[in-house]
Formats: sequence, C-alpha cells, structure tokens
Amino acid sequence: MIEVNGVSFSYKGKKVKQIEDIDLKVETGYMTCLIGHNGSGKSTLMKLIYGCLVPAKGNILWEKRKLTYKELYKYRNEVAFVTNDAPWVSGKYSDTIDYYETIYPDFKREEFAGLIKRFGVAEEKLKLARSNMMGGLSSGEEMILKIAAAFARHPKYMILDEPFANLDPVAKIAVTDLLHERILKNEMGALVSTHLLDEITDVVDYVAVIEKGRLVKYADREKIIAGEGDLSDVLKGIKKDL
Amino acid sequence: MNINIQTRSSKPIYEQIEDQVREEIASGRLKPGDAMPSIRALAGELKISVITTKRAYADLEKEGMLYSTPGKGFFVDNPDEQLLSEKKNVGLEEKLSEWTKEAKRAGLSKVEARDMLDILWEAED
Repeated sequence: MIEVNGVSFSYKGKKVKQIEDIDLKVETGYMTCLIGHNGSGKSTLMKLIYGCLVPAKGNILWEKRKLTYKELYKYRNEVAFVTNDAPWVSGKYSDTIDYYETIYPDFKREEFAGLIKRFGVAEEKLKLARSNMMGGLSSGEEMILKIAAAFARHPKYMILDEPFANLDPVAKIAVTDLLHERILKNEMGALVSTHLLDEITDVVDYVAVIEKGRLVKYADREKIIAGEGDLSDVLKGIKKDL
Repeated sequence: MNINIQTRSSKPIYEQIEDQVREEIASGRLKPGDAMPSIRALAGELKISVITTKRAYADLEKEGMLYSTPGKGFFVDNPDEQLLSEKKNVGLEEKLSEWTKEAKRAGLSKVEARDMLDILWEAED
C-alpha cells in the first residue's frame, strides 16, 4: 500500500498551496479514480506520489515506511507512472525498449508487443517507429506504448495521469479491462485520473474528488452513489458542481 | 449460477445481484452448502467493482441467505422457508407497485387492470 499522509505542497514562489492536507491510499487489489478540474492538483498529487516532487508537509508511506530519496529507485521498480506530461523517453523506440529491459527485471518484450496489439496499435506502426524517433506516432499511439510498457513491467502500483485522453474507444476498453483483471487478481493497485468516465465507472472501487488542492470527496463507490442512480451520473454531477 | 445485470439501470447493481441470488436459492438451483463465486471472481465475471459484489454478499449474509467462513468464502445458507417466500413476495410487490403507477398514468381503471390480470393469468398456463 502507498499512503499519502497529510501531504501539502506548493510550487516555488506561489503562496497558494497546490496541494493541501491530502490523505489518500493506493492499495493492491483496488482501483481509485481521481477526478478534478484542470489545475485542481491531480497531476501534482500524482507527481508527489511518484516522488518527482517532495511534500512540504506530511509524507508518503510505502508499505508503512516513509518514502525516502535513498529508496526511490527501489520504489520506482514497483511503481509505474504514466503521464502525457513528459515524453516517454527521448530517442528511438527500440532504444527505449532496450532500456526498459535493462532496468525492469520483470519487463517482457514479447508481452509488450502483444499488449500494443491488444490496445489497437498495428505492428507496422511499430516498425515505422523502430527506426525513427518517437515522433513517428500519434499522441494516442505513444500513450498506448507507454501504458503497454507499464503493464509489461508487472508493477505493483500504477499511477495513470489522464491515460484515456487520446485513446480511441477500443483502446480505452482494452486498457480498462486489463487494469480490472490485474486489480481483481490482487496483482496491482491503481490510481487513475481521468475526465473520461464512461468506460471506467463500472470497475472503479474508490473515488477521490480534488478541488483547489483539497480532497472534497473520498469514499468507496457505493457510498458515493448512495442511492443516487449510477456512478457515472453521480460523477458527472460532481464535475458540474466543481 | 447465471447472473445478468444491467449497469445503467435505476436499480443498484448490488440489489440486482441480491435479487437474482435469492431467486436461485428459492428455486433450489442453489442449494444450502453450495459455494458462491468469490467476491473478486464475481466482480470479474460481471465486469464490476469488488465493492459492489462485497456489498451484495454482505447484505445477503445479514439476511441469512449466505454465510461466510474466513479464508474459504461465501456459501449458501439454510434460509427459512418463510423468509424466502417473504423475500420473493417483496420483489413481486415492488414490480406490481411500479406497474400500478404506470397503469394509472396511462389512464387504466381498476376494473380494466383486473381484467388484464385475469386474461394474462389464464394465458400464462
């Protein structure tokens, strides 16, 4: 389990706290959906969890122990962070795969290739990218590669920042299915931030709503729904309120 | 066990599951002592959250339809006959109540409603 414990953070020079006093868990066997406006702090929170940023107050606990800089590389062996914010790795696709094979012991090249197909990117596209820089692919295709590479590492935790943004419906469903599959087998815990709720609402276990850096709602799906119809309607209502 | 759920329905999914499990038990298709699929297996089958299946099983356990053994999962209990028939009737009453509302809205009189029931009742045999 990864625990965010009373974490606050602000970017340098800014008085307003980007993240204020947040408590959140990412637990194996469960999927948490993080929703909030652009600028609400979703991505900052995810970067704090991944260790790109250091909390000003509070801490991140990894399996009950405070996450430290010394442990970060071990931590990141278990935690995959996928975001649109940063290019995957600069350079050739084939170099990136070699790199992954080197640093992630559980990464399987064949599985990665299979997943890309499963998510809807044709092999021919890859052959194109093999010799070129990553720029040979669309942003959606690049995201699929990032997600596939993350899955192929068999991480214990997946932190996904807007993974569905540029994906077509086939890919969205395929990614959601695989997430759900691994979560149900207790192989993984996931935190997913997304605006696009339709494909994911049925399988989300916990919902965290962030607004201006604070968690304004955080509960399991049944409590969030509490007799109000179904989760996707409730979430759309929350988004309107935000 | 054949459970079918509708995710975009006004009836919460956990209730749909509970209704169908009760039916299976009442009909004898599920017998006392039968093992239920695990909470996670059921969630996988129905492509829903474990929170939902956990809720359904917890409610059914409270009712006496299922019992659980730590580490082994959920099993069909020996619910009493009266409890089962009460539960069956509650479902039927709910359906009838919804139908009655709709019929009134459509302008059906009580006599017409009764006639409809008579005809359908005879026909279904």
